[in-house]
Amino acid sequence: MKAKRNIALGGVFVFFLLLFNAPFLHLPSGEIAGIPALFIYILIIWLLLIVMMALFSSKRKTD
Amino acid sequence: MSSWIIIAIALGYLGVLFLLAHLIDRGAKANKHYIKYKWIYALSIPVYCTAWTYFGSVGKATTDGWEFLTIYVGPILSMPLWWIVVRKLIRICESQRISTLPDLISSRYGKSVLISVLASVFIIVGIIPYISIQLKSIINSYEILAFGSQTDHSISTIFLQDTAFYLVIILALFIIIFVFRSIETTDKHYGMMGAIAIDSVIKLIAFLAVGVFVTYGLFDGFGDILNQSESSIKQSFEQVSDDRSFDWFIMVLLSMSAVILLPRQFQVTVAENTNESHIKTATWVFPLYLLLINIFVIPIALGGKILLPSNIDPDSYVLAMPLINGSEGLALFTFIGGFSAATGMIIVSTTALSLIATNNIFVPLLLKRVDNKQLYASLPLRSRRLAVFIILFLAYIYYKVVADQFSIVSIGLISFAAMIQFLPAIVGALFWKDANKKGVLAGLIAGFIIWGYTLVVPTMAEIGWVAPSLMENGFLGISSLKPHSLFGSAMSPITHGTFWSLFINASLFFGISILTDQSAKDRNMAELFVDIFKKSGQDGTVVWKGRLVQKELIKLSENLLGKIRTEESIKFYEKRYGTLNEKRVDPQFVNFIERMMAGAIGSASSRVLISSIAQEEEIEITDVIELLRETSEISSLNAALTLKSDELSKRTTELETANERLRNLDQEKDDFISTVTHELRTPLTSIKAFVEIVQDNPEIEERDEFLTTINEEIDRMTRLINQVLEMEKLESGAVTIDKHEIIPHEIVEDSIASMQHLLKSKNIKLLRDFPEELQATPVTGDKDRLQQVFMNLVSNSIKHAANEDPTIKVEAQLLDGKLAISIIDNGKGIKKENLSQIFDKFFQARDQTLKKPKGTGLGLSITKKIVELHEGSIEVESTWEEGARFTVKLPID
Repeated sequence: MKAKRNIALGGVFVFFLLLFNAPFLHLPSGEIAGIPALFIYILIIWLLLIVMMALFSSKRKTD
Repeated sequence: MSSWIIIAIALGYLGVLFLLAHLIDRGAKANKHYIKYKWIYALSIPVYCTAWTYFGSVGKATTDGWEFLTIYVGPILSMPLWWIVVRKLIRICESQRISTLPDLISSRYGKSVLISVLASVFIIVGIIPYISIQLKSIINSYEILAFGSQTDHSISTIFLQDTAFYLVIILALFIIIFVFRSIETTDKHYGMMGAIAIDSVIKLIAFLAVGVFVTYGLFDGFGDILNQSESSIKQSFEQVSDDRSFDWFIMVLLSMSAVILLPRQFQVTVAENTNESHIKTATWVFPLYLLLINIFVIPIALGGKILLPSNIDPDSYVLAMPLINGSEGLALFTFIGGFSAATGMIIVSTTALSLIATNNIFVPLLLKRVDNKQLYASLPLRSRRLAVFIILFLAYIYYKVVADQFSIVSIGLISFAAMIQFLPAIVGALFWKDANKKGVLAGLIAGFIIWGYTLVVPTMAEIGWVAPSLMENGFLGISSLKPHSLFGSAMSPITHGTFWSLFINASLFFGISILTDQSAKDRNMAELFVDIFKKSGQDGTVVWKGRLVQKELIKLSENLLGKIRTEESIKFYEKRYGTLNEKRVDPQFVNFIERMMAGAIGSASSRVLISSIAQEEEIEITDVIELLRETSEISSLNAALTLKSDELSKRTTELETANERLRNLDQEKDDFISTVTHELRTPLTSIKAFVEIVQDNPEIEERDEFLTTINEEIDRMTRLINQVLEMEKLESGAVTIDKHEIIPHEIVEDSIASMQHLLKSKNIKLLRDFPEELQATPVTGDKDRLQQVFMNLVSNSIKHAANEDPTIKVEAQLLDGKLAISIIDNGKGIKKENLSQIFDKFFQARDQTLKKPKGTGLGLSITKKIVELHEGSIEVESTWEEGARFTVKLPID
């Protein structure tokens, strides 16, 4: 259980490390509704990370 | 704005902060927490956001676009790892009573004084410039607000003529009053943490207020700012340049390690943690905080570029924007936000650096020169207070001489690069048992030399302290040793310095650790650190060999920690490990006292202190292996014992259940015998009475009637005996079901046919609702037994059908893949409270409310048993006065 949880957290770390670095960071280009697409991209993945951490935090007991 | 108003408000803010810190501290002592500590803990971690974030992010965004964000992307990316890494750090520090980073590193690598001193010096050298830029930002913002521009901060206006000097004094007093009151460094500083959390909230609100003011007050939203921006600046926010990908990655790595390794971060995150589960709250609150404090950086940077003159320093845009249309109130609030960001950082960093300087440099070096008897609690405490003044004084001097000539971000990044040098040693300490002291020393020394050469020397060259030729031609004229392009590499200065220092540091650390032998002390602590979650409950995992006088050890502890605290500690020890043996010193007790003292003066100093009163023997690797074997055996035995105990407890529960069941069965058997005897005695009594009447009066008129009754009673007894025997067979499992494919519809019809005479005699109307498609549905079962079931149910219905317009209905349907056949009557029905017992043996006989006798009382019990032998079920539904419905469900093949 503990090992599974650590692997899952490691997986989340790698996933967001990839999303916050090249080449993924170079994918959004131009503007969406007058706002840079990169701004929206960063905002979305940042919020996603917050939600995932909040979900982890809401688990009562992990050990 | 009048400078006195600004100073008064800043002092007022500090006064309120002092007061709140005092109240929180007092509340914590009385065990009253006004706010849950997990929120204070989570909101203290944004002490990461200093004046650099508050003023410098906007400055960085105007010149380098998105790169300003790397300082925040690193920390948020590290959040998923916090539960693994930070929790381990907290557990180690708690168990070994460690409160600073150099203490942690020296503890792990053989409690080495050399590592302790070196690491501390590197940290102090690396962080003092960072404190100085906070002073710089406070003074700059004050001057912009008071005089409209920054003034000369040269060395000519120093000390008593200088506002920054007074600020340094006030902050030093805050730390002495609220932090360094007791010798114990592992005590939690609730007041300080509360003040930092309040600082975090204030700076966030202030920054958001400026952001909203610029975006929606000075402009018509973010889109409007973008439309009015020059296309070249706008483009820098549309993408991250391809050729900056490596810089981006290095900066992310830099900030990811800084968020844990910076002394202030280590202090609030690890040393001030009271509960490991608080990390969970921090891992979502902190990224949310960083998102909010960064969301208006780009609008303010672009807005400043559009509205402010080009000669204004972008680092001061945050403060300058509210002043454009004379919003002095907002400007003052913005100043307070920046003031809180800077003071929060100064307070925690100075606290951490003072502890480091005292515990890891001053005390170990002092102990090498003076007698340990001279070391009283007041000495480390006084030296800590003195260290606060020295550190703030050095930061103040650095600010006056150097910091003023560089941007906030450039100096901050140099400090970050200094702290990442500890990353290999920390990773090794937490996860690699073979890492050793030689590897750490080589890595740290090389890393810091390269850090100094590639990042500090160039800044010194800029202010003229180093000859420019070094920058142009390299060390000793070797071009491949130019500070900004080692070996001809072309990277931005900070990426270049970080990359080479970390690369060589890590290579030496891993290489030398692999190639050289580890000392026994090193190995001992490695086992403890890496496996901390397995060993945190075992205090005997540190090897100690030697001789000392127990009284001297206790005296030493009393000198340092005080008599009361030492007595309390010994009581705790004796409660846990048994009474102290006065004749023989237990190594476990020596380790215990060493750890207690480490909480006050650090582990390296504590080690030196113990050595000074003991004749210690060198620990051999075999001692460590032996101890590990013992602790491992104890662990295995404990685990086995726990397993056995769990098994025993399970077996006891099973036995109790079985015993209870046996008691119930015994009671049931007694009830059964008593009921059967009673049921047999009733007809026997009646038979005996009739026989006596006929014997006494052979010519009696009712003779035939009596004989018929006797015959009926004998039949009833026979039926009862047969059913008792059958029930016994069914319960003992002696009955076997002869299973064949059978058609239930045919069985139901046969049962009804055999009851036709009774139906007719009682004038009962029979209704059928057996759908045609179910009439041929087969099931597997014993035809005779199932016929017995339906005959029993139909016969029951006949007995209980209503007196007026008696009706019985047979109904069939498919329910949950089973064939459900119901026999329904319109009789009296069954009372709700009796429904659950209707299938119990002799329920009818036991229930004195029912009119009896109509049967033996075993019919429904037998019926239920037979249905269950067919893997089916039987249910009853009834409403009093409205009849009853018995439903048999049989599985379909």
